[in-house]
Amino acid sequence: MDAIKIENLTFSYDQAEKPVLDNLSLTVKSGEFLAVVGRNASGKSTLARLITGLLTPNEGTIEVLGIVAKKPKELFEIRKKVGIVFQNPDNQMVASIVEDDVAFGPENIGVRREEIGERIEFALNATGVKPFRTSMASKLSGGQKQRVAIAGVLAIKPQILILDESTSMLDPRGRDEVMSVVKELNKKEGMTVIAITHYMDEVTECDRVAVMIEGKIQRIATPEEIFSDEELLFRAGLEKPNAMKLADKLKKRGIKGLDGVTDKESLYKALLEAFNKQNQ
Amino acid sequence: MLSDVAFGQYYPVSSPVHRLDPRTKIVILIAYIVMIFLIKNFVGFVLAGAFLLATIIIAKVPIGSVIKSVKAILFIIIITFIINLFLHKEEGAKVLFDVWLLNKITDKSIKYALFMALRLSFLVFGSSLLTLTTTPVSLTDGIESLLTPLKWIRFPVHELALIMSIALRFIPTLMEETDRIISAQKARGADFETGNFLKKAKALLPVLIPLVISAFRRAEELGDAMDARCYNGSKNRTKYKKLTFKFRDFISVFITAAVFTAVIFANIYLGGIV
Amino acid sequence: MDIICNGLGFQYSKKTEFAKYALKDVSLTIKSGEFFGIIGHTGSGKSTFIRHLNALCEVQEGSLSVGEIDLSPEKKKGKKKKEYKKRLKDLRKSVGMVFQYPEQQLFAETVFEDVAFGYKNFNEKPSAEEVEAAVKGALSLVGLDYNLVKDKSPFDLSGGQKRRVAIAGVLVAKPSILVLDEPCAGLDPAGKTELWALLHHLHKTTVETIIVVSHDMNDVAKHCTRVAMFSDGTLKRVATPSELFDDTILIEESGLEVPVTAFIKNELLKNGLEIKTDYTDDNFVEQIVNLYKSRQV
Repeated sequence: MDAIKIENLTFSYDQAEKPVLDNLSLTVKSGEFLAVVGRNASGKSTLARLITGLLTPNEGTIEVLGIVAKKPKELFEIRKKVGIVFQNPDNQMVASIVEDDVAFGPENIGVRREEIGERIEFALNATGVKPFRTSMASKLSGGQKQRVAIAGVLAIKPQILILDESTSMLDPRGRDEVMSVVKELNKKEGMTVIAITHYMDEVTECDRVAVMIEGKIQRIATPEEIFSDEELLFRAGLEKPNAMKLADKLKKRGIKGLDGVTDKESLYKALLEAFNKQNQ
Repeated sequence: MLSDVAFGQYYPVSSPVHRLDPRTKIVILIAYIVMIFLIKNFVGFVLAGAFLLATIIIAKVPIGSVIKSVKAILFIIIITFIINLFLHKEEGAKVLFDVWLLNKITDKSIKYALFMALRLSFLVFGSSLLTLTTTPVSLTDGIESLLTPLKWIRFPVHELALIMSIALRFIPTLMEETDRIISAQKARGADFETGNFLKKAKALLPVLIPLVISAFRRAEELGDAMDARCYNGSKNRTKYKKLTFKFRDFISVFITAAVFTAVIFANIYLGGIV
Repeated sequence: MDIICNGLGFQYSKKTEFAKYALKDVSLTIKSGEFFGIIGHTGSGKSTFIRHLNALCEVQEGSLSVGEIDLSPEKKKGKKKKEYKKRLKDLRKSVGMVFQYPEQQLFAETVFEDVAFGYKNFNEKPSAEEVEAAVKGALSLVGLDYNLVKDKSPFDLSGGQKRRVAIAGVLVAKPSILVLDEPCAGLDPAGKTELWALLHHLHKTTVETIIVVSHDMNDVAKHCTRVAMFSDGTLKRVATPSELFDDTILIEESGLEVPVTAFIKNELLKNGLEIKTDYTDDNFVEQIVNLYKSRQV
């Protein structure tokens, strides 16, 4: 089943300007982990806002889990099914106390009081921030705040989770915390995830990558395929992850068996094998 | 850093007073304020003072921090004292000094001015005791709950409460931001300290403009985040947190009522200023 | 200009019940001409340290001097207040500070005015020509076309351009030391590469010393000549990247990740394959290839 089906989508904030999204089509499968990459201002965030129902298309259609986004009522239904976590953790929390903030979504959709408690429990457990249930949100680290933001979204029980550069303001530790939570949701709960990111290390582990250039999806393919398309990487202002760059350099110097390298673990394993095999 | 200044003046310890329902504390404070303005004699003030002192002790709040709170309105208290000292007129008052201007001061006006000063101080003591023992968040919850009946006259109670809670939530964030921008402009040689008032005000522009721009950006992002989390006004909305009165709340209300009654009795049996 | 500090210590909210050491007993010398890296997890004290370099934190314990400027606490007592203020100005003129997301400090109506702000603050009544020359110089340093951007509102620029304008606004004072806190945060990969190139260009041309705070150990290994590692308010280690990343355990204990090259080196070592490297990509590749060839029979 398709989670999201976008056809010939065109969008501009100001009709006179060049459209931000230009005749874009995209299908996201249910349970898929899709990364969206591209330069700043290539239209990634606008796409996220359209899928979430925060904006409506000028032309074309967006279908989310069978609902076509047109009228406010449908947009509201879509928002229940699509959760989004934005870039700045400080700008998406409503309440000062963690559990109050997580309760905000369920309260909005009229969930019964007893059930809100259960949902908070579930969401905080799933994101590993249970110990901070009654803490002040302002005292948390960036990674913890973003996990609370994810919990706030999970409490609405969405089927699709969008990360709009949610890790870009975090330090490496915070980034790891957030990404491992998201991967787990994708694997264990079957959550469809769309991750907009600048971190190429986050891209290597996803199912497919959509590369955006100036409002269009230039190519959508597996990470391996994307990272071997040098010309595309250059045009989209992307870079290979460090481990891949190293693997390329080593390959050029005649070391074999480094083709499937995506991250540091796979580079190490491939190298070890190359050493073990070299004299056979 | 600015952000390290504890917001409000909440004093984080655990005490029976801290644990009271915020609504109870607000109602008691209102009763206490009414009582202070009803007091007619020193016995009343002794009673109110004892009540206040007992609460401070039970609340485990340092007495200094309660007394310090008066500093903020010390000027107003002094002005009130002086005005009443000179302008309060009463039948049968005795003039104390028959010198130019000072002849306005009478025995009654001294007492009256003293009472007014005491009332204002007691008012501040009581209010600060509330903010010392109640977090801003639970204070907001309490106010929202107490205002609920106003929904009947279409007063936007939910919206008001949400505005208050978002404002509280963003205070630490914006303080941090202010601190950061001040540092950045200082590093670019901005001088916030020299010059006259106008120059100083102008020097603040490089701080205020980025701060306002950022506040708008934050507001916009927050709006999006709230929309995305299905915010739809108060329509069909449920509420997770529910305040419940406990036994200690009834006890506190009972004690307050007792003190209140004692003050009234003192007024009746001892009469006016003693 | 050398930066010399001895026993530097600092507490926020000093003398209150909330007092906490953010920095403790830090002794460190950063020599003129270095491309110096500062690493540490969030809350390790690295931000507090760099704030000292611009006297945004007053020295509470120990001593700190930047070139001729002594910032030690006993130097600002009594009648010397005016003299201290002058020293502050001199310090801030020679130590340029680029905070995280510096574009957030832009405020003026035009790019020209915003960049000129620092120059006007640091120079006594400069002529219009002097200001224009300085702004022109600063904008060209960061690779922006003066005529194209000078009259634009800084808020109409793209994210990357805004950051360049903000950096120009610091460079305009012609600092000899430039301190940058996470200069690449939020940039796309191409923007990052461009920014590092810009920093190297500045280091070669106008700025003597560059001090950069970074979370990315791969960048640190690649760009810095020496690195200071902070953890829990103390200075854990000062060394070249190659010495520092030899000590993987120390890095990981401090909540940081080692560069990819160091990770591979250590994993290979566990399997009896040993290389010596300075952890830059090219050297690492060279060493691996050498090892590979030496084992070939």
